[in-house]
Amino acid sequence: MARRWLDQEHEIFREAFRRYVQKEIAPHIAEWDQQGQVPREAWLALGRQGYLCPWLEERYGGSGADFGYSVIIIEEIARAGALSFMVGLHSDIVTPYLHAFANEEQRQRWLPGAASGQSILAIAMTEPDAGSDLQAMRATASKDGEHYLLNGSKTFISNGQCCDLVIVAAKTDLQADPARGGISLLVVEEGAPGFVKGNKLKKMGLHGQDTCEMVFSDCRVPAANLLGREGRGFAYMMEKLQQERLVCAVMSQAAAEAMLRWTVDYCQERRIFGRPVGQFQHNAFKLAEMATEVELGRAFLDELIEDHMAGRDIVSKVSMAKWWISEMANRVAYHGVQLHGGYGYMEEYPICRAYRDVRVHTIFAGTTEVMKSIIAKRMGL
Amino acid sequence: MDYLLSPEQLAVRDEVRRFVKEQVPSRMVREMDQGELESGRWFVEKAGAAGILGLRFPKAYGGRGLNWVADVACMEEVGVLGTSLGCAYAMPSIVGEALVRFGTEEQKNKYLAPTLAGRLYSAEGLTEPRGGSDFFGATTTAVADGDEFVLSGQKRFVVGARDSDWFLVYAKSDPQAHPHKSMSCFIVERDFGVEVQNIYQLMGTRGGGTGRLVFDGVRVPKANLVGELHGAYDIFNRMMVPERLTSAAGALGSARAALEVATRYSTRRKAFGQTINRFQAVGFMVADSVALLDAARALCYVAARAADGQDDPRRIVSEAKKVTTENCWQIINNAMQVMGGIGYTTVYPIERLMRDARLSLIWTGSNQVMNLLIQHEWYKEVMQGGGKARDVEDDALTPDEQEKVYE
Repeated sequence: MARRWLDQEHEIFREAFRRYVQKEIAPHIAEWDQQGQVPREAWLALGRQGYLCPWLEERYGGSGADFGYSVIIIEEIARAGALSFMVGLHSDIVTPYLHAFANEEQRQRWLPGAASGQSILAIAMTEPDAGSDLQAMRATASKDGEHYLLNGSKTFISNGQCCDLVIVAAKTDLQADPARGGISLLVVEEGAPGFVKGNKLKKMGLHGQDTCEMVFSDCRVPAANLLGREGRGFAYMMEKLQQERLVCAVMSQAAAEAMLRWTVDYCQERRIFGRPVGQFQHNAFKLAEMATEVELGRAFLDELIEDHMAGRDIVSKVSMAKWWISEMANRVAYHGVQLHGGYGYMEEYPICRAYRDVRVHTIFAGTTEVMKSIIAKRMGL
Repeated sequence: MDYLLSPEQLAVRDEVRRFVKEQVPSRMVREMDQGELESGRWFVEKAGAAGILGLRFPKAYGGRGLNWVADVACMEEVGVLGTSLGCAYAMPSIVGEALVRFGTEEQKNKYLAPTLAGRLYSAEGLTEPRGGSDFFGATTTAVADGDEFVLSGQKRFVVGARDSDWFLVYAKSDPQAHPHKSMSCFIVERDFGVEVQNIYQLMGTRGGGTGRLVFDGVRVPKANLVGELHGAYDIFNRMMVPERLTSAAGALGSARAALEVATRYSTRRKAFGQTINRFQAVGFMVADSVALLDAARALCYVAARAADGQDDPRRIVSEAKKVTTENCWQIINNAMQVMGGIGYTTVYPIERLMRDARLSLIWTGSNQVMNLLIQHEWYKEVMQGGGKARDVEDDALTPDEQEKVYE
């Protein structure tokens, strides 16, 4: 199927980037999983090639490319099975906050590092007792002269250990009613006094992703690090969550396509009872079902990418894509493992890692249940 | 679901429940999952000392002379520990089935009794590198030579490969014969010369020392042949009963444990001003899980009764294995969804139970192999059972024999 948002230049770029991924990323996935982190050099290398934040204007170190290039980068990394390497989070989820809401001085200060990989970005919204219910956050930031004093703890911060710069959502106005009107975004830099990164969280999957907790104790953040306006943080997040969820859907979709590919290959090579596994009707039909679901996801997602690139409102549809495609990817993982038999349970096969990795796709960036709440609300329910 | 158990069965279940609660340090469960410990021997030693291994086997060999229903109830209790310890607990019940039914008196005294006492650590070698589901296509060979058999070949995915004292191994003793009449079953002590070549890195079910065995001309005394020469077909089929019933019953325990953790969590965790169990999306997910669990458990007990009876229980046991492992996977998956992000971390054991549970849909005959058996038995039963019950074809609105065209 022709992907309408792709032109020939995109395809040329994809070819080049795919070769890069095969050479520079794919061979290291297991090693990074063991280390629990992607090394800085891998980020810097991406930056040198212009693969970080390609959409940024050239004056900030980007290439002025459209969102399609970002999609290709996210897809190819996921397709290689490097789901822990959250380049999309850095380039297409966090950097856009700085680009959209920072003033010119801040942009000059932060964006070139984001594009070069010198500065890895993260965003901290979730708290131990406020995940889906963001407004219930307890972190506070009180003005103290030229600084804010930031207090609170955040958790499940992706890129948390390696980040140099983290956008933190905190309440600057505890009296605000509704509470969301009191939330602001502050940019906290590595080394800020009172800012402590917690230990890496141990997880079922995404072992190469340095997800961690963060604690802020009277952390002094310069007032000049406020992002946009006070009290607008919640609105900013709601705006940027759209692209965040689209990025997640792109990851899930590409992962599903990869898992299907690996499974088809395995079923063609592996023989049992004298013929390839894939030639048994049950297995062939299972693969046909998986391929159908993957293709439906692809069609829906491509239309969504196009709508997003055209600037249309995608709130309902991106919520649909986020939950359905992430659940679909989990179905593909489940059946992929099953069709690999005992080997699917062995760590040496990529389907094993992907199965563990995609499970969180129905949970992070808004759970399936939160996506359904958004859709229902927009249906007037 | 205590309705299905007698007071005696309830008592032994409670005994195992207490053992699981009081005798198994969390530290050991963790060390096994982290690969710091690659053996379930410590657990089998303790369970053997407590007298809770192989409950259905005769008292003379260390069992309690109970039945499958009691075994299933107890296996569920051990299943809360996950599949690695579940497997360690089930192994004497699996290899013991072969010895109790087909072994000589000498074999029972020499191997079964110390295994049930927890003094010998046992394992089985079934799967080969070339395939698991195609069991009778095995390539490991056993050649008679004087008073011994010489075994050559490999077995893969053997839980306990690292340090078991003895293995129950199947090998081709007559490669030219029909596959079902070509294999024999042997008791092979590690010290006969079994080599371990590889300990696998697994998604879950870790710490059991799962590895690959190599038999490079291993000499096995003829006294260690189990059952008839070339007669392993019947032994294998009988062993599949404990293989599959323990897989199913263990999964019940894992799912129940995960569901209980998620249920408690949902009554404490607040979002949008209320505890999350008050959201229908959560409460109904829990309700679905409870119903899946009870349905699976009921089927397990039916299969246990069938295994206690005289007829071949193959179909219902296969159904129990398939339905239970699938339901239980779904329950654990639901539990993780209820818990949200924290359920994906190692702060709670849901992620481990989920990694563990994934194997139960693959091992002891994948669920696709269960389907092969179920359909085979079902067709046989229906084709043989015609005429016994009312033929509802006659109740059709317009029955017309001429319109019933089959070719």
